[in-house]
Amino acid sequence: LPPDFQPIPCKPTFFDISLNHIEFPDLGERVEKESSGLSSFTKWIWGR
Amino acid sequence: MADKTVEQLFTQIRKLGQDGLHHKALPLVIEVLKKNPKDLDALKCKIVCLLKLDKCKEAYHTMTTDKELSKLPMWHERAYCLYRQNKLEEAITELNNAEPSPKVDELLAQIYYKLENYEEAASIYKTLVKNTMDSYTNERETNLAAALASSSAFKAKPVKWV
Repeated sequence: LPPDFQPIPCKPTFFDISLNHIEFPDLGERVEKESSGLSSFTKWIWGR
Repeated sequence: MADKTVEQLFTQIRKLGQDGLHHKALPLVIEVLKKNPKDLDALKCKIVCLLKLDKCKEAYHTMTTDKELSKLPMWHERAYCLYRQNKLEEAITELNNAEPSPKVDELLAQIYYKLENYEEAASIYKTLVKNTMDSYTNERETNLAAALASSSAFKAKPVKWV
């Protein structure tokens, strides 16, 4: 005969929080600058 | 279609990163690296994309073999790769080089938990829960509870909850 079933503790939920701390470096200096003056005016005219 | 400039690419990369769409960001990062293989920001972004996409082995390989990247003090990222590959002692050694910070502690706690050193994990989480204010409070409290529960379920001398 197989032995009786016995309750065992379940594995608690555990989150990988560290992955959330891994992020892109600050790209502020590398992105397109907000255009100003004439170009933003033309953009406004063209609606984009 | 004209080639996108590096600035245009980075603008899109940053946006995709904020939206958590790293699988879409990675090809753009690779496009930047085709223009300049030594672009450090792009190299760092590539590592982040690979880690977010669960490609820890490839990320670790890139970090340790790339001439530019291997010079950088990316202790946390390197340790995270080792942790994910279950090389826990090596991960701790790597973290010993890093400046102490909550994110280093957070990873250490996860490593100790995996090593079944629930006492150490719980003690780090207690400090983190007290001192950290971010959007992962619930997850952190859950991990603290997991460390305490595992300790009482699987250890002869459980950690005391005080």
